[in-house]
Amino acid sequence: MRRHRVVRATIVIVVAAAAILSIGAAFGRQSGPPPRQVAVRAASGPAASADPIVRAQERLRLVPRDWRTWAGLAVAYLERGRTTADPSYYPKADEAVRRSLALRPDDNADASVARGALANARHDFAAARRDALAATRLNAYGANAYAVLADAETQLGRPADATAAVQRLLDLRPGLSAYARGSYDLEQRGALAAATDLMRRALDAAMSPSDIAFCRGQLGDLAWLAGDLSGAAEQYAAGLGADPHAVSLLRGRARVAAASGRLDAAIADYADVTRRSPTVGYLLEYARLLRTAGRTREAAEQLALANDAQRLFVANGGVDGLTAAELAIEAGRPSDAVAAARAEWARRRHADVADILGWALHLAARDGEALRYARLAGARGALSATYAYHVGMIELSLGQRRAARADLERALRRNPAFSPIDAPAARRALAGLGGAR
Amino acid sequence: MRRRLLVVLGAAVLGVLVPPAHPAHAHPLGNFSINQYHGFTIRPDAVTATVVVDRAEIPTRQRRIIRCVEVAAALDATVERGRLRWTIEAEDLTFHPGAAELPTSRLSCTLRAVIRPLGTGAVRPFVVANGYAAGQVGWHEMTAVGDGVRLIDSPLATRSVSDELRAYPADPLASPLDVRAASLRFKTGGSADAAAGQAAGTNGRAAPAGGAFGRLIASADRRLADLAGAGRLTPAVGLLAVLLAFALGAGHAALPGHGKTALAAYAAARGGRRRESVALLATVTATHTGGVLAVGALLTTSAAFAGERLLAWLGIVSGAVVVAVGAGMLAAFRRGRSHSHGHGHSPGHSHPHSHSHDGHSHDGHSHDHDHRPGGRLGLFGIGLAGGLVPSPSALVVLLGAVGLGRTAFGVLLVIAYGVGMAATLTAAGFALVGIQRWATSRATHWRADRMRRVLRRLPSAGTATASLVMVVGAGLALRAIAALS
Amino acid sequence: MSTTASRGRRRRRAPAAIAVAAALAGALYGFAPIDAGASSHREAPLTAADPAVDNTDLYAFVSKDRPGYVNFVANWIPFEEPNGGPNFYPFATDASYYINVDNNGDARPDARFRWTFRTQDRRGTGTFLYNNGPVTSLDDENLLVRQIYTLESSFNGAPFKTRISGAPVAPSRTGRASMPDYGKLRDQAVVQLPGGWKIFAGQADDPFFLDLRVFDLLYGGDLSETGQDTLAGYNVNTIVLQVPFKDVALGGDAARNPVIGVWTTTDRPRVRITGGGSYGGQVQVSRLGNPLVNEVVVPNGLKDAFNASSPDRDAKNPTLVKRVTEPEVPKLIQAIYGIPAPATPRNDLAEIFLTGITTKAGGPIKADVNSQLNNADVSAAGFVPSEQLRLNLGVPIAGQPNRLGVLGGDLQGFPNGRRLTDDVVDIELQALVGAAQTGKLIDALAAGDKVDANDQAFGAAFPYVAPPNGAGVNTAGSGSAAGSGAGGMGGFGGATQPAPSTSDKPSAEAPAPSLTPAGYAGNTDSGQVPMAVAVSAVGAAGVLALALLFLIGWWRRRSRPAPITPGSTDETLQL
Repeated sequence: MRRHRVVRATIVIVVAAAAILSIGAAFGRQSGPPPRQVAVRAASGPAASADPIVRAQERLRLVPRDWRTWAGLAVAYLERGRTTADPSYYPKADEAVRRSLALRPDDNADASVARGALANARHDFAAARRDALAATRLNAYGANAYAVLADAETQLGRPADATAAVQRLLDLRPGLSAYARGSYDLEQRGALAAATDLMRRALDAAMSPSDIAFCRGQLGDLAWLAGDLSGAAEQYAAGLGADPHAVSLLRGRARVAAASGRLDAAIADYADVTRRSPTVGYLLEYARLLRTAGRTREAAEQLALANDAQRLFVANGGVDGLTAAELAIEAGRPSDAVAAARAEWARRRHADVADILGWALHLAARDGEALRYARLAGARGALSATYAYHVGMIELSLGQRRAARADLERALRRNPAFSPIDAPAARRALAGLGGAR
Repeated sequence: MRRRLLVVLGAAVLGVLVPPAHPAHAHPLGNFSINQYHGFTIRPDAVTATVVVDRAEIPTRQRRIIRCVEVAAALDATVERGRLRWTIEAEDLTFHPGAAELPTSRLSCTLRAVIRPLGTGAVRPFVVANGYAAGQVGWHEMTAVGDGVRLIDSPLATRSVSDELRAYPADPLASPLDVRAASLRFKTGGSADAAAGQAAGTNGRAAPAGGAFGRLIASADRRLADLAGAGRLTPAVGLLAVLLAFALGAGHAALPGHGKTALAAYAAARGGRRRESVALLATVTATHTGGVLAVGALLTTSAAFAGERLLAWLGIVSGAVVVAVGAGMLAAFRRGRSHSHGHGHSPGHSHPHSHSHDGHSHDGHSHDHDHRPGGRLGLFGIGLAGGLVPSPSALVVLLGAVGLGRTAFGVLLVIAYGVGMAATLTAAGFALVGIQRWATSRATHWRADRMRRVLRRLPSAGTATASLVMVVGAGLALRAIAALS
Repeated sequence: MSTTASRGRRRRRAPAAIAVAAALAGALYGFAPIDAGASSHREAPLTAADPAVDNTDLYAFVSKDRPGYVNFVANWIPFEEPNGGPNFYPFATDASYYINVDNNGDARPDARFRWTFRTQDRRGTGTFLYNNGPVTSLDDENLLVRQIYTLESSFNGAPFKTRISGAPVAPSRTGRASMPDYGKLRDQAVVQLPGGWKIFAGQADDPFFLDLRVFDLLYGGDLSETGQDTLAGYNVNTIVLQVPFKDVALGGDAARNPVIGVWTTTDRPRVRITGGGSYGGQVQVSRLGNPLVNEVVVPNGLKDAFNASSPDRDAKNPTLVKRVTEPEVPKLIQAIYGIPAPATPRNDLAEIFLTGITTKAGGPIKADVNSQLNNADVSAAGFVPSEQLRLNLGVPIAGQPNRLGVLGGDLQGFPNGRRLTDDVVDIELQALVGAAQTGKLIDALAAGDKVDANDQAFGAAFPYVAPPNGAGVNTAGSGSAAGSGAGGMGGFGGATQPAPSTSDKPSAEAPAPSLTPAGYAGNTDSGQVPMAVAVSAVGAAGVLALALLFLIGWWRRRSRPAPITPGSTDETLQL
């Protein structure tokens, strides 16, 4: 009797244990869903935000085959890379574009746009143009495709096509993105007032701090172009209020400080700029500023650094003849500068390239050819004091004194402090020509 | 479908972790990034920080030599109000070939700061902010583990996802890490569970204070958490996990706390019969499972809940229930005594069904099981008290499983855990009963005989048991209150 | 059968392709770097969306608290984070927001309502905060940034006439400390105009509810993992308008001509940069009638064109018509669920989206519900099919609204207009698989996205939308408590006369009650919540059961007269 009970109890226990264990094994068999996110979010997840990156990421966790959102995520990463100057977002953007295209290789205008934007960021403007055009063929009403196209056409130096693309963008989707590009297009044609007006409109449409900072920065640059130092300073300050980390605004502020004779403040800002974002361009500007301040040893250091940064950029597959030419000019190697600028000119015919090519030719003592390019830079009407200064100096070198005087005066009229080195040089040259009238 | 997704994800993970093929050595986070990792280990008497600064080519070119002193100076950490003063225990700066014949560099520092040790149970805040190279872009990662302390509400991971800046994950659905500051609390003298729910699936290096047994339990804890979060569950792994959960539950119940004394005393008082033991076992399991699930759900849904406080409150409730049961036993016993005369039994009288011949035989008792002290209510109460305070490690397992989308598996493990706990507790009760019987059966032995006589002469043996139960309950509650304050 | 199988294979191949692509991408990691180097060319923002002008939802319904009046609710700027610091979500000041009504079926607006907004920014240069202290009324000095608006209307092509200017916008809810009584601010933003009009503009809980994962269907996924309102907890900018039937019905006679069609548009001024920069005219940047049209009916490639187009051109747009009559979603559903896609052309869908449900256009749905063709004074000759949200004002107000609207036998719901509670995701799914022409709901899709109601209860009275969420989306189980502003405070200020008790009537009285009590779903984090809910349910059930057992035991003990017998005490003393 008792034994029977014991046996029964044992059986019950054994069966129960077996049941629990086999259930466990069964659970083991059907492997659970893949981890959606790091388990760390269990107890206290950070608040999701209106951040477009986070939103796209969350949506893709829910709808992983959404190729359109993959493309959107790529654009969002690119935007973040642009506003933070943090290049680690670019490989992520690249990956997101690949995912979108893997899911939908054809008829994927969104991915074409994103890939085009990525190409623009990589300065591969020809590829960007191809992608943008492909996107417009797939979706003639897609505003972003025209934005990418406008950027590419602008940098490639095809002003008529660029303007047409911007106009199409404005007709499809007036807004920050269109206004900003419209403003730049107007600026390149010398319509500073209209450009400023449109950029103010962009500022009104801007919602995020980084967009506000961008618009303020552009308004500051426009004021700078017009020689309005205090107006520029105001805009930079307001922009830095919205986004204290905007490197381009810091750089703008430093430029104003240098132009106002506050070299120490300018150097401090540039030190900060080049620490945050040690691009070749900024390093080069920093080197020039140090040279102006008479700190030649530090200037040489920064120039060497800029050289290494450029080598690194090239070693990593980057192509940028414009910067290479500027570096060569700064280092006193005019023939290298000419070669680099010519190569860039073969790739794209932007006004900036014409200007640098002209100046490099001048330094290489080939003034005849130089003048042609230097004049080309300003041909569309861009009101750049630097362009005018370069033309004037080349003319002077060619003995065209009257034209030189006119162009140098024009440069100083536009912005009397356009460069801590070149503006005084322009004044000296003018004095040599008998002074301003 | 799920399996396929898993494979896809696996391939994706593999893909992104494959080192770059081309161009040689390009820094994955861009050639001007300064990437930082801070791994904190908090001990009762010190905080150590493993700091790694991985600088890409340009920052290295901008400044070749950097020192741990700067890193330490920029690492602002406090425990309570006291700012930590870091001492550098190890420093290593190495250079590695990068692109364009420019080197990248890697600075490794071990920093240590002594903190004033406080007594067991003290909850202390740890706040840290890293200001090194603040304006510069780069990966910013922090981790924290406790060693001899338990981390509470830690927002930090316990393991570096980048293998301390050696392999940056490139999941396109995750933004680069940017953790530059953190705030958490830690409790001295806790066991290995680095803040319930945070540690799942990680191999936190926390080691518990306490004896070899505690250490063994802690290591089993981690093994289980790893199993529950294992990348792929095979039947063998599932089986192993359930067994381990059972063993862990049993082991945890053997550690101090859990009102085992009260439970055992109670079981002994009731004669430790099989049926009741099963009921007790079931109650403890059910309460514990329910409690863990409820607390787990609260912790998952609401960030506002501090798990620590919740557990403390549950501890108080548990203690109170035990006290109440003890009081009930006492009252019942007294009443029983006053009634006893009418029934012709004296309080101290031995039970009519003697155990003297066979310690296993209790069959004749089943008819009157509701009439013993506390009755069913007491039984439930004591079971409730035993299972009410969810074991943190069970919570870790559950939350870890939930985080990995294996809720049902997690629940199963928690049930197994509860069964294990209940088994130990019930076994403890049986053991006590066994000792009693052993004592009674040795009637001929003079010592036992005398003891039996002594015990029998104690008119308040029942009272003593009830009092013991109450004292233990009060102790439990007080401990919980101490943890709360 | 074979098509299903091949689809299945294709579906299996897609993830594999992604995996390969991912692995490849990983191998090529850092292949084409963008970093230190290039002189930065001008890089302007590339905004993927322009939320301030992107219309997200439109509702049109008659509420039982004010019969004879029709309500329009239109939303912009989704995903507004509540309390996310100093987040202020303004209406665009350079845009015009329209609600358009077509009552004669010619696909051109007969009544137009236009909102334009202005921002008053009193911050100066000193602060970037939106308020510098608690805000207790809309004209509180502490509210440094506010918006006001002008409402104009135009009927039958007449010039726009200003109805009110300087009306206040209910501000973005920035937090409990800065706006201790948000309900009052909201009440002050309700304006009553002559002619019985009521208007409101400001922030509100996003009334749309769905599980975004339902869209996985569009990409070949199934609905097995849906059930979470992924919009819960977010706010939106909303405009609510209430006007009498006679102002929008053809000939002012809603009895003869009860059907209207509604859509919203957002315009921005046209900018010319050729010829030096000039302005003139408007560009339509957004258009919306029926819900989810942009997601479900006119996907890839057509969405942008649709946003730029006007309804009178819909019928001439063969691509659009084809998308409606030969939709892709039923084919996807067939592949996944084996529910046969109804034969094309889908004239039933054309009725729902393009003509309104009527017997007069020869469509397959044998009912006269909401086509302008059913208006007595509309001639069939002048009727132009177009995509509009059509509402028959004459349908009696439902006592118990059915979330499935017309498909659920409740003629007052979508696609006859749209109430805040209508589950448009599930309705459209059912409609796409043919429920409207067969009259039978498809069981396999009965659960739809498994989100059947909004996380917050809607109001019983104007402006109906739930007040904005006050707690961060993922922070706490705040939902209703924080969400419902203190009601009944009814501040009376200057030009604004608040409607009686605008907020927080008990939802039981609501004409359109939410199916679940406000609250729990408010705190969602992707992926976590369903499990958390399940776990908490199990846990709570366990605890509850135990408590019950305990209680029963206690009660039984109490009711037993002599609970303790000496026999039992004996046992404790056997030592």
